Amino acid sequence: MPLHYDIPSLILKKLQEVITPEEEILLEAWLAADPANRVLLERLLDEPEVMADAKAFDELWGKERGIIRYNRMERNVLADTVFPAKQRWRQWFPYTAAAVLLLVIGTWKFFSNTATINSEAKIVHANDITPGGNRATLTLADGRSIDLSEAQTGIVVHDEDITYSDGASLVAIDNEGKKIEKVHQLMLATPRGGTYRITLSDGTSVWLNSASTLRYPSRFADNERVVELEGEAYFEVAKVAKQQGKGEKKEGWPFRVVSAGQTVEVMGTEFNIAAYPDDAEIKTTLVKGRVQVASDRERLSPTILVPGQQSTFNHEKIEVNTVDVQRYIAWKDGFFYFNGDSPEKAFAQLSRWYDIELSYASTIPAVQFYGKVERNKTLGSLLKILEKAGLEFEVVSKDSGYQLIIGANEESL
Amino acid sequence: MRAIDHYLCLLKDGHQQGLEYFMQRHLRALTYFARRMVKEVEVAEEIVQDCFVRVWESRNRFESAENVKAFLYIATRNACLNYLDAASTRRHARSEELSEDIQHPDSDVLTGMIHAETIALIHQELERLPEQQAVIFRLIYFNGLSTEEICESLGISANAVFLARSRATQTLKRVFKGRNLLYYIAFVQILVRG
Repeated sequence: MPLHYDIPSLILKKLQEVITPEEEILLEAWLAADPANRVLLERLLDEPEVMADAKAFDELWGKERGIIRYNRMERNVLADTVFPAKQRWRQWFPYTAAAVLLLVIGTWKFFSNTATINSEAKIVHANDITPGGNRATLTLADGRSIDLSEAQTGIVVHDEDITYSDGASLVAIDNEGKKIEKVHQLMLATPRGGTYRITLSDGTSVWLNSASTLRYPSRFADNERVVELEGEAYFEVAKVAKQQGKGEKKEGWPFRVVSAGQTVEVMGTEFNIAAYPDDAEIKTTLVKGRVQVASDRERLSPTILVPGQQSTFNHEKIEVNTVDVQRYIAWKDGFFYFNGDSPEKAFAQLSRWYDIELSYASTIPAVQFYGKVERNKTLGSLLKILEKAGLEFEVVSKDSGYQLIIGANEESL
Repeated sequence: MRAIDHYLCLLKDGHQQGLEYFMQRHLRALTYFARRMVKEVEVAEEIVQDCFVRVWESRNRFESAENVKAFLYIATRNACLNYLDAASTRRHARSEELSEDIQHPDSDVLTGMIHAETIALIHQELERLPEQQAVIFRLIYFNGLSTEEICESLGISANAVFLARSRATQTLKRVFKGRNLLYYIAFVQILVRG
């Protein structure tokens, strides 16, 4: 029997009782070719059997779960089948995951090194300050808040419930089990020193960085997918066409991220948005695909980004630059990544992740940071690396938290 | 030139688009096929992913799209058998690398493939149903709910059931002509109305 003949379609036609006499002949020929074929056909014509099989198939591929599974498997295969020439990041960053490379260059411009430490402040061992971890709070439509497990890395939104990424159950969206049509507004918030991943009902994955909030519906509307972001998040938007019903054309299903004064619209792509309220700017960095960035004021004339570009919105206008993308997305893979960063920018990241307040003992030194460091280190081991570059630190307890005092050591002056 | 041959060319030229096409075409049925053999979903997923990577690595060898499909099913079957044998430490030297095999897959692989593809087609029909009918379908056949239980769980969206009624009947006829699902739908509607 040649492989190319479409027996499954013939069997389906037989099931639906729409098979033509000519097709029946082809099917008979196939049945005659091997006794195993008749056994198979009988199984497929047996309703309880076929329903059990369809159920098993549905458990794999039905509903959002199926989309998520498919996207994950496709991603895994594509990641393993890239041409060596295309693995640009690996050429540029030949470090292993554990490797630490940190250089500090520049000149110290210290006028004074009189570190005035409050004598009442207690000096704290920096090794005791642990890095952030998987911490987040999920808020349900009814106002209930749930602290998510630190042993888990993410959650998945389904039609009827929300589970952890490994399938462990978390909460039913609607414990009545009745309101199938109803959409709930939900919120995921990370504290300082927290990060969490969420898979939305359409299969889109969102990595939420520290001190960030994502508001999203339990199910998206038919015409668009809208979420609200405050803080920083990396989006891997699922490219899905929403089926508009029988016979109608599949249409695009835009995904919008709304942050203070800015809307980013995409179809299916990967990008990072940093929109912290205490930052003067919103930065949108595109990794893959295409996005449109528009300010609320100029909604009708959006700016289009191509991969490698970053838009900066200062609440007045949008500027576009080509940037080192890794610098803006390394956090999602668990790294601090510096490429010529000023101390203010570098320490602002540490401050959010270790939940520490910053204080400079004197004028901020004009140095630049380069390198990639794992985020799961204690503050102490990270500071040890920075000390080698001529910086000096002291950690003191202040109010209910900690303060990091940054200065330069004697030899470097 | 058939579209499928166009994608075969893309695959052979080393474009991932070609591979994406074959995944779109076979990945679901193939994972289901593997799952039936090894039971654990995670193992089935791993095996199928690995087989697609191997398609990529041996892309120069395929002469037709049918070769790719045969390779996928044979390689998946063998990987599943090896996985099952691993417990008993037996290792079979299975030779899906040989091109003869791709031309003439054995009967087990063929029936398994046709079974998986037919179930995939049936599932595709289910996915095409409007949401409300898909819900009813799943409740009856996958969750084994009785008519009363369905009415109860759909109680609040009774209007949606009415509106969708005539279209549901039409569409379902196409899925399983003469099957008793239609009676269930009718029952649900009568009970909801009453």
